[in-house]
Amino acid sequence: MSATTPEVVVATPIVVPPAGVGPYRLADYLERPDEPRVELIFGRYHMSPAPINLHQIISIELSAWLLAAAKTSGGLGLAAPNDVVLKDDTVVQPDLLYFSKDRRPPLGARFTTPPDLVIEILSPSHHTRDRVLKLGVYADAGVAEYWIVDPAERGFEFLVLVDGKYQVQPIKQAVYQSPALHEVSLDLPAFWGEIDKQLKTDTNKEAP
Amino acid sequence: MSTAGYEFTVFDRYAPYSTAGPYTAADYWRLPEGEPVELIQGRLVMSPAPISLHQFVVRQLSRWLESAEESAGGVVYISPIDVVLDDQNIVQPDLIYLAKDRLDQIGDRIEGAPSLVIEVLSPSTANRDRQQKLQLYARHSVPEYWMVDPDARTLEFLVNDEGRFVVATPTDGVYTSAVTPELVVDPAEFWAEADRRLPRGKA
Repeated sequence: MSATTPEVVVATPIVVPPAGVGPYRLADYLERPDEPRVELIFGRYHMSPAPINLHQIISIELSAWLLAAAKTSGGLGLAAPNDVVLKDDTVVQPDLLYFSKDRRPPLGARFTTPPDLVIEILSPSHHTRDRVLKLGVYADAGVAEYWIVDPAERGFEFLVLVDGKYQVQPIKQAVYQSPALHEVSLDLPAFWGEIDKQLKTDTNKEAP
Repeated sequence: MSTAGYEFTVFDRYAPYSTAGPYTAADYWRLPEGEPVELIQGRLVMSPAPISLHQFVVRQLSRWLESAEESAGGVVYISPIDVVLDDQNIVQPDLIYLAKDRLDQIGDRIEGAPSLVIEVLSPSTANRDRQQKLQLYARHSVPEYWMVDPDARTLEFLVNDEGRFVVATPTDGVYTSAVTPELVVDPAEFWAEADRRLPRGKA
C-alpha cells in the first residue's frame, strides 16, 4: 500500500490484532466524511459492506427488545451507527449497545464511555473482526457484557467480563438472564421464533 | 450388528442445554465400530462425513502439534477416537492432546478429559461445537478447548476456569497455553500456511 493511499482495510480477515498500531487517531477519524462509514480499530480504518438483510431483520428485532428493556429500566439502548470512542486509536460502531440507568452517558456527538452491553451480529465477512479483534477491544475497554449473534447458526454467545477476560456463559435455560444487568433477559426460542416468522413471509427465502 | 432400533437426534438449533436422554455408555458400546456417532447428554448424535476443508485443517493442526509431542512427551490423536467423559457423554473430538501427565488415561479409548480438545467447525456441526459441546467440555473440566473456523479463518482459545470457559487471546500474535505451555500457535502463520497449501478445487 503506497503512502498516499488512505489505509482502509476492507473486510479483510484479520487473524490477530495487528502487532503494531496503525497510523490513524481519533482526530483523523473525526475529519473523515460521514460516508463511507468506517470504524477505527487499533489505528486502522475498517469498512463494512452493507449488511445482508437477515442481519438487519435480527438487528430490528433486537432493537425492539432492547428498547423495551431500556424503557423499563431507565437505561439507554441504541442501534448502529453510534460512535463509541474507546481509545484514541479505537472508535467502534457496535450493532447494538446498552447503557444502564446509572451509567447513562450525556447525549452528544459520540459516546466516550464503554457501554454496559454491546451486541454484534455476525456477517459472513466479519467473523474475525467480531470474534477476535473486537472481542479483545471490548475486553480491554471494560465492556461488561458482549453478545455475539450468529444468524447462520441461530446462536447467541453470551460473554461476561470477569477480571478483564470474557467468560462464555452456559445457556442452561430458554431465557438468558444477564448476571450483572437484571433488566436484561432474552427468551431465546421466542426470539428466534419471531425471526423465523418474518423469514417465512419472505417468499424468496427458504425458511430454515 | 446394526444401528436399527436406536434413536438418533440432532440438537435444536437454539435450544438451551438439553435434558439427558435415555442412552448410556452401555448402549453406545453396542454400536458397530466406526459409526460417526457421539453420546452427548444421553442422546446419540450423528455427524455426516466432514467436508474436505475441515479434514485439511484437521491434518494441518495435527502436524502443528507434533512439535508439542516431541518437546514435551504428550500425544495427539485425531478423530475418530472415543473420549469417555462419563456414562452419558462419549465424544469423538476432531483432535485431542494429552500432556505427559495424562498419558495414563489412554486405554482402548481415552478415559476422562484430555489436556486439549480441538473442534474444527463445519456448517453442520458449528452449533453443536459452540454450544452443547462447549458446555460439556466446560463441565467436564477439559482444561483447554480450541474452536477452529476454517471459513472465517479464526482460532478461538478457551481456557477452563472452574467450569466455565474464558476466552484467551494471543499475545503479540502468538498464543501460548498457560496450562500446557508446549501448546503454542501463531494464528496468522497457521492460516497463511493453510492458504498456501490448500488445494484449489471447486470451493
